[in-house]
Amino acid sequence: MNGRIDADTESGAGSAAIAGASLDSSLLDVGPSRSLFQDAWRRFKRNKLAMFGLFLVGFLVIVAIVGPFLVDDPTKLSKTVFREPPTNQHPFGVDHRGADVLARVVHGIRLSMFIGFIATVLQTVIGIFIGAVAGWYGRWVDTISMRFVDIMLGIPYIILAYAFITVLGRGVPAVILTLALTAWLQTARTVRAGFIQVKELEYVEAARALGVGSVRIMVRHILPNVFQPVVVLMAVGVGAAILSEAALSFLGVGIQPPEPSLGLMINDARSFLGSDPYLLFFPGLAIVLTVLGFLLVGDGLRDALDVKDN
Amino acid sequence: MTVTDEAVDAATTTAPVMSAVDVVKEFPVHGGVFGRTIAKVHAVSGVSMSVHRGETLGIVGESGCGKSTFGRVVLRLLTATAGRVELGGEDTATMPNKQLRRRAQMVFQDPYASLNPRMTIGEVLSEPYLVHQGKKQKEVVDEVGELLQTVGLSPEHRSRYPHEFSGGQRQRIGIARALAVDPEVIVLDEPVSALDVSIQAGVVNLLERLQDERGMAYLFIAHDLSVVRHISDRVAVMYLGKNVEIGPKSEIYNRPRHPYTYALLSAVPIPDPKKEKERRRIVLTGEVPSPIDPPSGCRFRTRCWKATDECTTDEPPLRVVAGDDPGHLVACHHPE
Repeated sequence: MNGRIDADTESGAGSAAIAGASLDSSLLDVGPSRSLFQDAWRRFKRNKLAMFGLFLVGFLVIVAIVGPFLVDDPTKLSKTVFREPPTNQHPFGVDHRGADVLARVVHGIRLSMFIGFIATVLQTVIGIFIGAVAGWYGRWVDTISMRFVDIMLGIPYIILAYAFITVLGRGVPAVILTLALTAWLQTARTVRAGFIQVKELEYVEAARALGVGSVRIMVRHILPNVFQPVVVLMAVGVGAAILSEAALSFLGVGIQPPEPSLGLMINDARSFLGSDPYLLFFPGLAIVLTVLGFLLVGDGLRDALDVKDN
Repeated sequence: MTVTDEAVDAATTTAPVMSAVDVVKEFPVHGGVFGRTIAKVHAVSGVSMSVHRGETLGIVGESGCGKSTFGRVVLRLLTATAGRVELGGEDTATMPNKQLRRRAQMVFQDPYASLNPRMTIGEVLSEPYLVHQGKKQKEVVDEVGELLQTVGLSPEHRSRYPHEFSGGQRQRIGIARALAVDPEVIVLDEPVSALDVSIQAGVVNLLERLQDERGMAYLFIAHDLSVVRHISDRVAVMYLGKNVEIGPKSEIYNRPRHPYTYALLSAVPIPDPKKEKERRRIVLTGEVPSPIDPPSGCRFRTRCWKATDECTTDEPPLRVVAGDDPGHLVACHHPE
């Protein structure tokens, strides 16, 4: 390039330099296009444990969607068979009420997944909103909301959830609401921390200089740049929500019979642990595999997404 | 005659596009148990300057002299503690935000930090149209393509992400973004200091060409004296929140009056071995004093070899030295 700036030239030389630099072919060379998502997926695929988790989750999602059409009605009770070990007709056995365990496990997985997903979406929305407002506005808004989060986190989780569900009542909607209202704390903290970090960056100032409004800056400029840890929290959160639902149902305050809940089945099976351990084994295995799947996917996502931009 | 030449002639006759009058910006320093304000950082202390259509005013000074803060106050990205900024005679303090942003724009220092990594170039460049004209990205494909061509990039680049571009290309995108609203004034905050020297020339030449074509006024903030010399019509020198000298480029570079300007210019190497050997370099002693507690009187006196008692007690006003160009002002009791 001949348009070199020389300390000795006066402005007269500038116009000559313009012609030299205005159409530089090197400006038109840009590397191959590859999205950030493709990059992350490539790294995720290399992680065997994460792929195993994804396989588990995929399998269980299919079970949750297709399974119920293939098994018996979980509320249909046999009049003659009770507490029967696995047979060809009832591969997971029959429980003390005379219901097919396989049918109850499959429907239980479906219900757990449904509750886990909806509760996670809800808690993420709450967490993002509160975290974003606290991080963006700062000052007293931040102080009040984050002290509130600290207090909530100071209460043991199961006691907190127990308190909420006592107020909200019984049944699926109450469980979903309880899980959402108790799980948003970590999301809010993460989003707040991200907002505080990103709002100082030059591209946010550039958006302000351009006249972009606060809401659009928060939604379009900051949120996409703090979303990666939130995705990880969501994956882990589905697993945690499923576990919490089982715990609440186990304690008798969550899903009520005859709805098929894995936690409820474990609670029922407790009494027959000595004589009929298979009643505990299958619902227990279903919970372990579901939660494990989501945790592995979450960990894999953390590793795949945890790289600096570029 | 180019727009630039007109501007220099017009400087004394027509009204400026942007004028800042006695701008003061202080940042509170919080401390103690209750986070009370215990001190103030005097970042900008009464700076007045103006730019005309098609003119480039270079602002130079060391890190921390308040030049970037001044640029941000001009754009109301920071609110002035005192003083006022006018765009075309209207006070910006009361101007609606959208109007202000349409008339004055900014190009940022770091091309790696000033573009949102999750937005494509098309999204970045169509945002001004969305904000100011309510037009969606699909409706401004032609405008965005044109902008990209204006800054030497290709319209096909609109679907790419910032990380796919080099520093120089990104800075061109930053310039295109500022151009989108067709502003009257652009504040350029060290637009080339983060770039390789080989890339700087291309960007500086692009800025000059755009100014010739569109007649915007530039407020060119930099610490690189040779770049400022190349692009500016007038130059202002800042030291510790004060404008110590301002004037036409040739006056400042050939006849610096303020000891600080003199010292700054003496630090520039000359690309000629013979002349370089003869160059008399003034090395300033000491550090820049803290802007929390700036020196009394002349702020440069603690490092000045000419300082007298007068400099401690009286703050020198900006004035013309006898025999100089009437546009050449210096704030010194003992000008060179």
